[in-house]
Amino acid sequence: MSTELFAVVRNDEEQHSVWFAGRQVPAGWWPVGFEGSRQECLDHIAQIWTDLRPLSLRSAQ
Amino acid sequence: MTSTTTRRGVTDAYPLSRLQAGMIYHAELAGDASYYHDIYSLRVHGPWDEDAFRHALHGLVAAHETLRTSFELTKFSEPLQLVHAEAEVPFEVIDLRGHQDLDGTLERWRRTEVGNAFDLSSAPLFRFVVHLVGENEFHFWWSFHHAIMDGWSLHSAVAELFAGYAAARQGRDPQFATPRTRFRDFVALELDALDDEDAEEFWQGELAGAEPALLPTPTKRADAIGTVEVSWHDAPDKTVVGVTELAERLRVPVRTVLLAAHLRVSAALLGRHDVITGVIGNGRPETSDAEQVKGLFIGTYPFRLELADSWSGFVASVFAKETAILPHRRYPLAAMVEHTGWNPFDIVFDFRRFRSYEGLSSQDDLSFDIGAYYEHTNFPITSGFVMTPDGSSLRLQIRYDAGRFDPADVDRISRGYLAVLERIATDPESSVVATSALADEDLDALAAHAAGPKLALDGPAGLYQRIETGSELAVRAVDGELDYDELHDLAGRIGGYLAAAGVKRGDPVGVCMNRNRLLLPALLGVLRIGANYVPLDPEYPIDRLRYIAEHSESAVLLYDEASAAVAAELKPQALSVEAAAEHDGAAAPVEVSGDDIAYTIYTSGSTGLPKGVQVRHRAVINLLESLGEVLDADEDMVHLATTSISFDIHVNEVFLPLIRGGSVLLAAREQVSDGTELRSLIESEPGLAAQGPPAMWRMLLDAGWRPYGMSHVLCGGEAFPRELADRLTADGVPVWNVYGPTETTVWSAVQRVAATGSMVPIGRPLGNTTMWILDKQMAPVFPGVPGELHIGGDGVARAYHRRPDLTADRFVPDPFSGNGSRLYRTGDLVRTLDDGTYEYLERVDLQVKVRGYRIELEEIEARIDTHPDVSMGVAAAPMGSDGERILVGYVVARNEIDGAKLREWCSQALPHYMVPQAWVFLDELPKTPNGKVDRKALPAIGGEASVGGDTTEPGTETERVLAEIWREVLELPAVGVHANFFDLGGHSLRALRVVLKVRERLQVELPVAAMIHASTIHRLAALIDRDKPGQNPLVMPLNETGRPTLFLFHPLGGHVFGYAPLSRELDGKVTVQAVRASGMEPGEPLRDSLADLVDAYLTELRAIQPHGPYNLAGWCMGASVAVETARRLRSEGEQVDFLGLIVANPFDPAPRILLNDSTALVQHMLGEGLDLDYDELAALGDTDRQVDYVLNRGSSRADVSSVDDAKRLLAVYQANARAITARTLPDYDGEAHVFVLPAENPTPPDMGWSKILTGPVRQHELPGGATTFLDPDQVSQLAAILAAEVGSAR
Repeated sequence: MSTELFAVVRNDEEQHSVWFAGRQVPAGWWPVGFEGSRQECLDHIAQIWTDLRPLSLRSAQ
Repeated sequence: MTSTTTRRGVTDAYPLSRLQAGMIYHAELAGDASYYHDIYSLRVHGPWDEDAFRHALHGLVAAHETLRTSFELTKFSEPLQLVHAEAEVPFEVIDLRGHQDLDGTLERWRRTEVGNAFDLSSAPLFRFVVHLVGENEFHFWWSFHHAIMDGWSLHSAVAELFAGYAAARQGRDPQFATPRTRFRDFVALELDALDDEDAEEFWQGELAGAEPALLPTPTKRADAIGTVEVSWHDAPDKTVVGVTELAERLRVPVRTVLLAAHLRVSAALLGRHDVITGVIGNGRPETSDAEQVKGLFIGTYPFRLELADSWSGFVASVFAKETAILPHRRYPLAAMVEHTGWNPFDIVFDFRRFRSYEGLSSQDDLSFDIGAYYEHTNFPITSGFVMTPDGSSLRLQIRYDAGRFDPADVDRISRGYLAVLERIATDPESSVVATSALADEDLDALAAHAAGPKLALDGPAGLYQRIETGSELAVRAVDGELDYDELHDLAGRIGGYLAAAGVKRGDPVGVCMNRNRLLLPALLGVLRIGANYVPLDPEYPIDRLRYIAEHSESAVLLYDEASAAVAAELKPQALSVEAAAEHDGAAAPVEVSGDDIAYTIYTSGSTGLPKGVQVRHRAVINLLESLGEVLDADEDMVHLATTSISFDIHVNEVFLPLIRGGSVLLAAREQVSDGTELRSLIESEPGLAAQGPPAMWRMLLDAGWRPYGMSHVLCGGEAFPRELADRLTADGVPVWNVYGPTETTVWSAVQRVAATGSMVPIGRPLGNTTMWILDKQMAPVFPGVPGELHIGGDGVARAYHRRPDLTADRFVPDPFSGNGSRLYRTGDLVRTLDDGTYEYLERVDLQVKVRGYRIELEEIEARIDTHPDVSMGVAAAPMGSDGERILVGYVVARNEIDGAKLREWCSQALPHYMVPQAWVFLDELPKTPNGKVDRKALPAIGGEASVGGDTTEPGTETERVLAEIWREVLELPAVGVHANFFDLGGHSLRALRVVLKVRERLQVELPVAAMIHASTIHRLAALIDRDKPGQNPLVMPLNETGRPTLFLFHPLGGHVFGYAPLSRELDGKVTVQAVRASGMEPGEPLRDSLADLVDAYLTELRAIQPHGPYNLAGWCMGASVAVETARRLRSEGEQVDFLGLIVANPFDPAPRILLNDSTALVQHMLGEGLDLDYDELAALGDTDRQVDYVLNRGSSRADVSSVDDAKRLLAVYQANARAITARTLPDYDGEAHVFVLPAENPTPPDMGWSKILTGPVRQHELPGGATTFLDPDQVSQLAAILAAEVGSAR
């Protein structure tokens, strides 16, 4: 169970999350190219997701 | 073994197989004749010839010894089965030709027959019956005990029987062959297997670390439990071909592919991916004629596999596991269950390919419908795949317990099987876990079910812009009211003040305030300029506030006067809200987007630090508009606001009425914590809407409140117990269960609670909200199966502030929306019910709700662990028998430490509701086999467990009884007599219980207020003992610790509850002795002259304080009593140092009408908060009926529970009024202090005292109104003056 692989994914608002590696990513989401354990993915997200505002709001402000 | 060897023709005797023994044992246990009574039913088209049939039957029975077997359970050293040389064949022919309702008759016959028991000791254990149903048609039944034969044996026997029948009809001798292999060979093999250590080891390995795979779905019909129903479903030809081709390509039997599909469907029925299913195996010996032997060869063995891989890989794994099991398949399940102690599965897989059917289809002039086999099973569901020998057709036969599933469930399950098979055949490389176990039509139904109503959120995107305007009342607080225009005006000023301090759109602003008149202007002022608020509860420990203020990056904060000291300790620039409200120059409202943040609320975090949930304007507006629709909120709505703004449920309490033009009634903190005070507040406002956690409603109900007259009762924050729902709905008031986490904005589901029912469901999603129940792989489970609730839609929060990792973990891609949106994983295990609502079951993690507060136990543990004397700590919240959870800390100490120190340690960092109420010290924590803390094995508090704080033993009998009562109420094993009730998990509801138990066991009447002031066993016992014997004295201490004593006299009503907040303020400074009126308790004399009153009170006073100097004061009528008492004391030569006359008019002490008009008195005294019509009341005539009527309407008086109580209080009131109206007070020439309320514009300004007081007079002005100045948040100024004056006088 703990060895299950996940992938870091991102949507159009540049919100990040994780999805099951090797499974079709839900519509509206794209893999960013990072895979690992769930924790590794979350640690990676902590590095790359620096502005938690949705993209549309960032652009508008 | 020849027929000559035996008694009663017994030719052989051998032991039972384990399955046979189990069946007989089960049936005995159940005492039910239908247990393991199987029936086979077959419609035959062809000629009927009874002699030929009888001939064939006898041949069949003669050939197979199991058909001549009985069981002897007790006569030998072990149970044996006895084979008889001969057995009489029970056979009956019933003619139903021409009968109406043939099918109904046959079905009734079958249902009756299944209840006809077999005598196990008498062979044979079966009956044959034939119903003649037409000219060329008959119905054959074989009714038998399952212990003699399995399905395979049955079908081959039926085939032999009809071959024999065909032969006999044609005059040939039916040939029945007796196989050389015997059933006893199988029993011998099983005994060998039982001795096989490899098999035992193999199965122990298979089940190692497993949890029993039992169906989590609830019982549907208790009356039908044990009734087996069968339903058949044909697989489409395309699916059969696809599955067969795949099996060939993967070089496995078709059975393996079917078993793989079965595991997928089972996972969705179990709600887990580590699947264990039973598999029915054939244990026949591997001999050439074994297939012809009749007997019970089947065995059911557990098959455990975790879903993984692509289908082709998974099918290969299934095949590998089957191969591994094969040599051990005869090891009986019963032996495994004996070892594990539990039955490993509820779901069973069966595959049959009946070669023996071939015989049935080839009889010349006979043809057969497919037979129905009504087989008993003690498994709730058995999925049987029946394939024709040529592999051309496949049927799914589901045998199920009608008590556990209904036909709609079974249809859905069968559709799932067929859909999975089709998906496997179509794309064998697809992922197993990603393949849904539900058919498309059922997924569509789930999607429709998951969605709340669609709601158009037209209008402004910002919450501020949606607040109504005008001159109507908007807010009432303890310190004043605001209409909408004033609200906006103040919000404009505060917004302007904030803007001047540099706050702009998107900035967080701390709000460190109490629930007063400026709270809403402050929140709206922040929102008006596009900023967002961050609640900083002034009651929280300073360390926590510092963390929140800093983590939220708030540059400024707003504070009210009462919170100034706290605000000064925090880093952000502290701005006085009172100053801001005076600011000249309103800020212009700033337009925001729906994605802007409205507020950030910090909730308990499992990492040891609170986490800030950022909530969007759109989410708030969606909540308010959806809930507004459901509750039909309009300008008449008056919503009570009881919740600290630190909890998000304040949002609908305050903003829902304001977007609909209604008003908010803000309750002060003190009003919320005392059931009696909250009760009177609620009852003062008919038609109120209010919300709170179950604990709040329970407290109110226990204080005598009834919901009569409320417009809405909202209960949320934790599971809503049915018993509470029954009490709340009894009056027909709309009661709503509301559910939702902070992360999806206050509430996500709502449902009106039915007046009857078993449990209270959490309801249906609000507007623009979806609620999915998913397994760990984010796949939907079957309806009724528990899964984690995932919530999507407009309510989903933006993020956990500055925690991208945590946000990504909990806010996950929504695989159903198709638009890139997210679902919030709630951590709540939930299932759907047949009526479409959701039922909450439990948490999947360590979050708990205690009295409505959301707590991550890990956060408490992180704090405990940092204590230098603690080796390791664990927190838990076991449910108390009163329906409230209690927070307990379990500690392994490094050095000696006690609970008091740990409590103090936790209080420094955690809010009060997160501080454990009891401490248990252990030498070591219980561990699971893999070394983790075994939380389920934590000891209950009790026995050797030591509970923190003081441990002084009771010293007197009263203390002993009180300690017993406290232990019961607090559910603690031991309580020290100096420990504080409210530090041990006591709250006002529990205080009320203590008072009731004290009344019962010590025959002493205590006011609840006594618990608040005498909050240790020692102090309470002293209070009680002084009052003995049995009498309720007129003078009682309201606090104890301070030195000079101040006597406070009762007002007109006679009671002294009103002085409680004042006494609390004076605790440690001035000892308050309160004097109540005589006549309040049954049997006490009524006194209606001031002289009599003062006589009685002087005696009591002297008993407590024999000589002066005295300090006296009183409010209302108490002022007149104080003056007269002072005068009498002075005339007796005593010194009076302090005389306080508090908000009283000596010339207008009582409304005159109340003296003469009992109807008016009833209305005045008991009718507070009720819309009572005087004429209606008067029409009732006598006082008894009036009082009765008022009590039935829900009088607000907590101390009145009967007509007698009420009449006594009315009499006291009238006596008091007469006492002070009857005479004018004589002059008083000593010094006096007069307290007045400028807000009430008294005329004359000194309320007339100058006409009586001839000595020095000092006048003091107090804040507040006539009914509020003694309230906790108003009384501090009075307390300060009294403390200074009473103290200095010495």
